[in-house]
Amino acid sequence: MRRRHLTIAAFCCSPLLVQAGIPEQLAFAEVADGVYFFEGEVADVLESPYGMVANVAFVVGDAAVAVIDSGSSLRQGQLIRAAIREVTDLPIRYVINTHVHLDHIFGNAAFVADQPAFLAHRRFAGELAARGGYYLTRLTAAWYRGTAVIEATDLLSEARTIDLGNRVMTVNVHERAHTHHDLSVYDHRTDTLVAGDLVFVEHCPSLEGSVDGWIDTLQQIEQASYARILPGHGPVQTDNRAIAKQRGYLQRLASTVRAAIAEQMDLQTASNTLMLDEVDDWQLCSSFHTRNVIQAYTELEWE
Amino acid sequence: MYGIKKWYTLLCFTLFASLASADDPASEASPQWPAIKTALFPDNPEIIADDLLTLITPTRAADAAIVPITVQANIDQSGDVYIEKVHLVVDANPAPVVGTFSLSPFNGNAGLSTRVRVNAYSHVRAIAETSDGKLHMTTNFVKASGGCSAPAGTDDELAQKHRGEMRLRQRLVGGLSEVQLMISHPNYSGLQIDQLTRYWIPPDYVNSVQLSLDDQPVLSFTGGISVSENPSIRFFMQPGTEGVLKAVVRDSEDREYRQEWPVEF
Repeated sequence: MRRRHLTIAAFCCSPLLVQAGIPEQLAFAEVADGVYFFEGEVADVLESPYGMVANVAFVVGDAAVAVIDSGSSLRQGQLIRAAIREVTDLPIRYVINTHVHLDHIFGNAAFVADQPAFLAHRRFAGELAARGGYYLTRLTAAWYRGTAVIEATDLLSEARTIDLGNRVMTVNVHERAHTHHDLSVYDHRTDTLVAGDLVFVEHCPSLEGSVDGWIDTLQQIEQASYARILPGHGPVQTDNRAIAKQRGYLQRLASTVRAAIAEQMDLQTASNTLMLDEVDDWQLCSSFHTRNVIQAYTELEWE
Repeated sequence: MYGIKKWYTLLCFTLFASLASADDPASEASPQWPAIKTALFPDNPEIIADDLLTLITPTRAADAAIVPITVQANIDQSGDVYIEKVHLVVDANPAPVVGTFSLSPFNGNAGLSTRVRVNAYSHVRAIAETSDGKLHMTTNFVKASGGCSAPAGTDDELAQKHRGEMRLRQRLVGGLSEVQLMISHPNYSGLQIDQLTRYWIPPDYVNSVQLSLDDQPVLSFTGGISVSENPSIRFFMQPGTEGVLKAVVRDSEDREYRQEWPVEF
């Protein structure tokens, strides 16, 4: 009884989840016609009690549903599926994995019975093989029981158009940016870009692909001037201000690290000293920023 | 060449075979150290735990596949007793001996830095062999995990394209010339998976670096899979030396890369 009270209290007061209650539903908002959005908690996936830190979207057409990212656990995947079923009984034909990080893909198992196409970047498969098992060893709490590595069925080398029934969407295949294997999804009807982790809002950007490539990609997104952008972390954007801030961080990272390399500052000093003032401008930069400096340094020292 | 490979393989097996408990005070309570010590120094010499070297490592690695390590040498290379070799060890790695650097009077100071993989929370050790035959060790502890099996930071496609390219940089630091040798090489550990084919990538790593100045040995390195991809070695050169610096780099697949630079330190 006590637990039930806590659960109700949690849901009546906040769409986010508090530690006291095991989540039993996810709060999806319809942010545009037929576009549903779950905003994750801005937190480190391994330090958040249920790991529901990544944003998730689903889009409903006249004939089918596409899910873009699936969360960090089988259980979260099941909650996403339940949220879809509250909206529509149409078949779930596509599960799109924007990149391999564990907070975005480990709900895939909840959709296997729907027999969707699992779409991912051509370089995704090997990354999943390299990391999947390691990720699972990190997800040991009872909440993650049943979580499994589900491989992509369709590996994309170039953009693909999918039709959900009177609703065309383009799955974009990106060059090295946030990772080596990023996808984003564009919904033509509502001029909405589901950006995955190409866009970080409030949450410190995390660099794994290419700092220069990521800056280019963000510039393209800004120039396209979408009506709406759904980031991988943080709230929905209807203008480019947050993206410009993220691009500014990455441009400063690139120029600061280039200058450090030019004056022969070693990697250790660079990672301990550069741009520490940025840490306060973002959530979680105290843990992500140092790694970003190392990534940028090892990329740029060879140019 | 084959000998080096065999030696490291042997070292791995030795470690799995005997995880004895540590009574040696210099071991800093690591269960792996006694076996590593026996493999590195079979004659069981005394190892002095002191501050002849200062080891600079992050307490927690931001990226376990690229952990910067700096060894400062607190004696001068021109004195009666100087440092002939520096061994780097990461106790908890599958191949714990990162490698051995051999130094020369050209270096002025035996300090050096490189980047290593750290596979689990581990003691990291730097051991100096001095010209009077003594061994001096300093030990740090680094929190990191998964560094040996982490996918390559650049990607496989790019790594294969640039394999064997080298760069040399230099700057003045406190009266000495600091030199950085950068080698483009994926340094596959044998514990990583190919990003496209999903097969295990066989080990393929730089195991020998020989640097000479007008054919006189300056610095050499022999090592294994614990060095990060695109190996980087920073070391010192005595000012006033000049000539042709030649690098000969070999990897575990018997490839050889050579490059030379006219230098003035």
